[in-house]
Amino acid sequence: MNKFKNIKLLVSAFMMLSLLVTGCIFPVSAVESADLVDGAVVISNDKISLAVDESKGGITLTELSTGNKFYSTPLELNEEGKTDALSRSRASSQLLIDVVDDKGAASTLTSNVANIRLSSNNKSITVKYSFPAEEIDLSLVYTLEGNSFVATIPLDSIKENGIFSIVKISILPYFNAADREEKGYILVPDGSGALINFNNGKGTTLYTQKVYGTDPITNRKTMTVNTQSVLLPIIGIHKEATEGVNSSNILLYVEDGAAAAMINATSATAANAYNYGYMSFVYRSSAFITMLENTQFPVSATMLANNTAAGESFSVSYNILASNGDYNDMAAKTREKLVADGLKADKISDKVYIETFMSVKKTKHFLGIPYKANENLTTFDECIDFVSKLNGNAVMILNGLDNDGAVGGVIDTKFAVNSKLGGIKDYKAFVKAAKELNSEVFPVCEFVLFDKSKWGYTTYWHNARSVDVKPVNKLYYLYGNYEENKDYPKLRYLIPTKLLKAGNSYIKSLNKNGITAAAPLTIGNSPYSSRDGKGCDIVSVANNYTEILGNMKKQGISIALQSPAAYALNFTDYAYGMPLRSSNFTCFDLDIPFVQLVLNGLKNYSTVSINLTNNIPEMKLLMLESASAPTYTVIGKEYKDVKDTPLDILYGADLSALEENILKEVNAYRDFYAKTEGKIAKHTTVSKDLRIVEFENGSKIIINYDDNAVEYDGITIDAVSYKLVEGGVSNE
Amino acid sequence: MKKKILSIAAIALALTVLLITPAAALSDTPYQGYIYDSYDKSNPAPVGYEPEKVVNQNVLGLSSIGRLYDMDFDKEGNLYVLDSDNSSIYILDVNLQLKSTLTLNKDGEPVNFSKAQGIYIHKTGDEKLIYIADTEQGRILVSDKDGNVVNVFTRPETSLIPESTEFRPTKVVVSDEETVYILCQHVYSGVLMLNQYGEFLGFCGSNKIEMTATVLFNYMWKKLLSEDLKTSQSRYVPVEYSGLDIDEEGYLLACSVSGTDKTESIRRLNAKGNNIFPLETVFGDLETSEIGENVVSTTFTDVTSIGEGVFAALDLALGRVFVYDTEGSFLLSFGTLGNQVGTFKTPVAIASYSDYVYVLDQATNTITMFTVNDYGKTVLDASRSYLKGLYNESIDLWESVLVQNGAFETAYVSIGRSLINLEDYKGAMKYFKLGQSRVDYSRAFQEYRTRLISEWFDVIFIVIIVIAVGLFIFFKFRKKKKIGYDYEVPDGYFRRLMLSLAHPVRDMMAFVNNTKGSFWIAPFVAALWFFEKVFTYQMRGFIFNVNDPAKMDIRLLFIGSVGLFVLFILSNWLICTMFSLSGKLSQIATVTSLAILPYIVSSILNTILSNFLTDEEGMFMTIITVLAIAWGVMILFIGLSKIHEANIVLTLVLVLATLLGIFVIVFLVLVFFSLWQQFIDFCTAVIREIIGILR
Repeated sequence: MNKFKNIKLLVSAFMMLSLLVTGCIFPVSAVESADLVDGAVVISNDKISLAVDESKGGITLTELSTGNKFYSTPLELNEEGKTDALSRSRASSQLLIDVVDDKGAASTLTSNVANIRLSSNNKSITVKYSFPAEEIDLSLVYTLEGNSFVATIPLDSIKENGIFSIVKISILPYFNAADREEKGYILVPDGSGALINFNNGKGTTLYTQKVYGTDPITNRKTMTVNTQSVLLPIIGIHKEATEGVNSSNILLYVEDGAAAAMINATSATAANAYNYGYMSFVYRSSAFITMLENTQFPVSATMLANNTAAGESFSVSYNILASNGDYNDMAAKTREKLVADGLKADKISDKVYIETFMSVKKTKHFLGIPYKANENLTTFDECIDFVSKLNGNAVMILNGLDNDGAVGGVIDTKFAVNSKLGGIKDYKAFVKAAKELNSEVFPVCEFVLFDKSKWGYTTYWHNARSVDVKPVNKLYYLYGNYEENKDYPKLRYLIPTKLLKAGNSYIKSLNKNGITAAAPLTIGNSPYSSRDGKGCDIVSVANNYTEILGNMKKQGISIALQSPAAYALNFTDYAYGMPLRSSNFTCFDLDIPFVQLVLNGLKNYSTVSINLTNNIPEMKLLMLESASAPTYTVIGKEYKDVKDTPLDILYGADLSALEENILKEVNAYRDFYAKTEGKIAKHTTVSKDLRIVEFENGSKIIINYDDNAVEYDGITIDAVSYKLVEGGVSNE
Repeated sequence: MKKKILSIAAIALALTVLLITPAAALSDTPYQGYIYDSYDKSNPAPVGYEPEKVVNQNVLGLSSIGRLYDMDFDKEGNLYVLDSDNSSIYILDVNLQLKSTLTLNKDGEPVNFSKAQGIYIHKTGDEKLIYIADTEQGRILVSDKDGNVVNVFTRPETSLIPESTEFRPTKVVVSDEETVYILCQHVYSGVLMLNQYGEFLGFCGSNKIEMTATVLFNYMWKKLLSEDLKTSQSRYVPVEYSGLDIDEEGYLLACSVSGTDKTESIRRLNAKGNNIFPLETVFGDLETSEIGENVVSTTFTDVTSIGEGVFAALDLALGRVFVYDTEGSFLLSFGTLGNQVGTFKTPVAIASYSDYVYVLDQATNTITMFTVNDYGKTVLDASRSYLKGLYNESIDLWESVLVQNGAFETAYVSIGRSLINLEDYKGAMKYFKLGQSRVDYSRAFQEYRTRLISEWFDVIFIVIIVIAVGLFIFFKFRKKKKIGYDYEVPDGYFRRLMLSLAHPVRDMMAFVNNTKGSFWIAPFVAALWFFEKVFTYQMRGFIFNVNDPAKMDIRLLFIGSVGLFVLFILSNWLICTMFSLSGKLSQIATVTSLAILPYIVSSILNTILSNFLTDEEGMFMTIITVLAIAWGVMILFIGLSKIHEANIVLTLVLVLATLLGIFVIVFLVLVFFSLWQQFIDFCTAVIREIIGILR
């Protein structure tokens, strides 16, 4: 008996010990707010609750006020005809992990086949995924914040113990996916922003774009199609109320690791019944490379960079917005997020933007001997004369002030003004004259792209390198065959580790010369990476960019940035060249000025150069619709002076030919601004060609992009025109 | 041709993969507009046509759709789309909304036209007829608007189509005169013509074989082969047409997939079958590239008349649409390969209605509608105004085009041509120079010069009389010496030099052998030749100067003059040393200098003359050059034979050997440089690797 008693004691002790140990590992029942309900671990706050399925890791988010439920895996996934086996596997996973083995073969792991272990406390639930065959472990942590939850992958939780290396991680790919019966749209921030309607039948593949633009590390040799960049790290999913489904509005926002993020979205296709959008993160840069190309033994494999994304985590918040809202609410939430990240509202004005090119490096001849020299395109006198004709109130962006011309040259570490233009002395006098006209002048500087060496910044030693160990280039192309235009400079990207030094050195020089404004190119919107080690990944580069911009602000330098991305907005005083259209991928249904809706009232922003766009009348309407200020790009010389130079794109920038038109258009814009005051209250898309913008002062415009006149609300709007309605009365 | 189109489609697909990766650019369409300058270099330009919408099976609301092959508009703006797999025709409106679906029937039985490749809508009187090129079944189906087949044209009775050739029609169009034009696979005689009853009328616009060096070589080679071997060799056949349309003036527009001959890839054929585009008009891309062994160049697959003298042609290889006017001027380009609206994967057919352009993509079974924007409209209107003879209107429109696109040489040329018609020749010359049109400039210059001469006739007449009288007096009273057996060459360096040029047989050796410092003529001539090259490059009259003065590279000119001069002397000296001939290096240099002098002088004279002559008068310059070269060659032969004491045959051999020697020297230099370059590349690669390791 005693013997048994002893055994019982032993078993009891063992069980207690086991419980204690298990409790540490699975402290599910140990915390008050994390409950185990129907096989799911649940955490909640006063607005939402989040349940994570213990066996599969699937999540269910419940909005407590409405009872709306959002799932990471569609409920009817296994019904016949919904999707094929591959998509089913992806849809029942919370993570998709793209990996490459040691031979360069790529594959995708789906988390539904991983071993999972859950742990939680009162604020979060952690799901640890293990892929034993690939020897990869990582965790996904869910936390609640007000009306949203945040899904985070702590980077230190990622373990690669075998031959597989992680390239990309996608989070909750089918979260809130809508099936064929549902109506709504997915908002993607491509260019100005675009909507993909559910079930639009366009039958195209997944839309995938890198946030803040493509990383040039893959080094393309041929020209590519024109696309717009993604400036904001968001996706919106809007569902209309249909039978059995309440309307909902959700915004995905990348909280951490945005520079490594990718936007993915698709409409339902014949093979897959679901419309969905999700975020992916590039953990390690890669490219599919063919080596020994011109031999009998070509080898193709995916090659990897030596570094992984820096930072603490990849993190996406899923924000539940007012269920009856639309993309206006998504814009408001995005704005709220940006403000929470430190974005401050500026004084909004009706300044017009004049971008000019002061000089360009071109081939000249002395006694027939070719040499490269700077040729002046515009003078300070021409600039000030033009601004005075505009009655001042302008933002002037000056490209090519220094001895390198507007394209290429050395990395800017010192502020310099070409002596042919009059040097720094004349520049200062010009700035002073501009100030008297209530105008600001921004000299353009470049810390990233260069084609000429100087001490400490050589094209040979200090260039970023692609995954196949070649210099990363920005090339100019011939339009006829898409091949490199070898007459134009081949620009190198500076190795990321030198960025800060270059930027800070330039800031010092600005201070020394008493210059209080700058327009840094590239660092406003195009993070890149190099295959080299620490500090060369894309997140580190974006961090370097923000540090340079932050240092500029600390020194009291006013900053103008060309189409700045989200990370740069905090530091931007004037955002010029903001896109007014999306890339118009086949899967898109509508373009909307989402980026402008986010920035409206917070930042001064302008259009892309109106005089260089294809469709000027339409561009002017887009300007009004987005409440943007106009940008004009001009030079003081004729086109023949920029022909056969990298500025050959300035085919319609001759100031003398444009001046009269610009003056008229600017006056019209200022009249319009005076009547609307530029603050948008609501943007409505009646149809693809008919838009309404309501302003906070009560005025509104109805814009008709159609080739025929339309009648709306009793008001006739001419073809490709608009009507301004003030106090209920429409004006031309 | 099918094979070629398939291979082009494969290249296009490969390019799509290359091109779908994104890049930010200025243009707000997926593609950048561009035009070519007179040096055949592409320059960016605004886009004239923008994609409006794209429709597929789902958007059209069709439950199933087969492969789409072709489409055509009727006069009322209905687009007929040929779905051959389903033997159906979809009728859409201009906004690509589906109106109805049409199937054909004959005597109440449905008609199958599976794999038919062409459709054309023809209106005759009040009746609308649908023509279908039923390729697989070798017939042309003619149906009324309700789908009742009213006529079937089968293989025409003619001996001009070989028995062994199947009748496989791919495209069909019908003229107002009821002539049916048909493109047939493997028929290389041109466009087949039938009357309205299906009777054979003949062929028009036959293509020719492009005579390239390879073709010529293979032709010669085949002459040496036996009949058996000949049959095993590939045959050269003329290029087939790939697309067909009729413009509003009744001219036949035909395009072919031909790669190299860009002047014939689109033709505008009159009733006689002659191409009426101006000579040397080129079409498609002038910049080409290579993918593997394939040259990627424009491959026209279809053509459509946009109306009022403007037409568009579709490029399968790079998914582009090129818009031209009937003078062959390249006006606009749009489209590319990709996956955005306005891009394609395998574009096969193009149609237009009222300035809208529609492209059918067979890979995605989609139709994309393009609308002309403000810029494009201005360009089209400007071109049309000019073609209609509304010159003042045309000038205004082209001027506004130039505000948006200062690189548009066609605009300058068109303004110039309008100004010629308005008799403003000086103004026209300015614009032709900006537009780099030498032929037009010459025409305007001729008129301007005539006007100038008539204005200043009095002064010019007096000057000519004074010069004539002066010359008469000079020659009349000049002392003339008689030359006898006791003739001795007069002294004086310059005098002897001139005499040896004028009388090489009699006086040259006196200069070469017995004049102190005669050798120094060599460096002088070398320098003069170099100067002449630079002078000619820069100062030759615009009409005759095809060089881009901004791109002059003095190093090349130096090699082309001094380098060649030195090489010839060196080579000749080495050869004559090898043959133990008597000529010395200094003598060879002096003779060579004398031989080149006439050419240099003629070239400088021509350069001066070129600023006063028109294109047609250029032959005077050619005559001067030919005479100078002939004189120089004679001096060279006489000089070399005398200094080497060689007879005429040996001298000839010597000159040929010298030329061969030049070739060998150049070859050795190139080999050396190539090796040196490889060595440098190797060192660079090693250094780069070391940098990579150190970093």
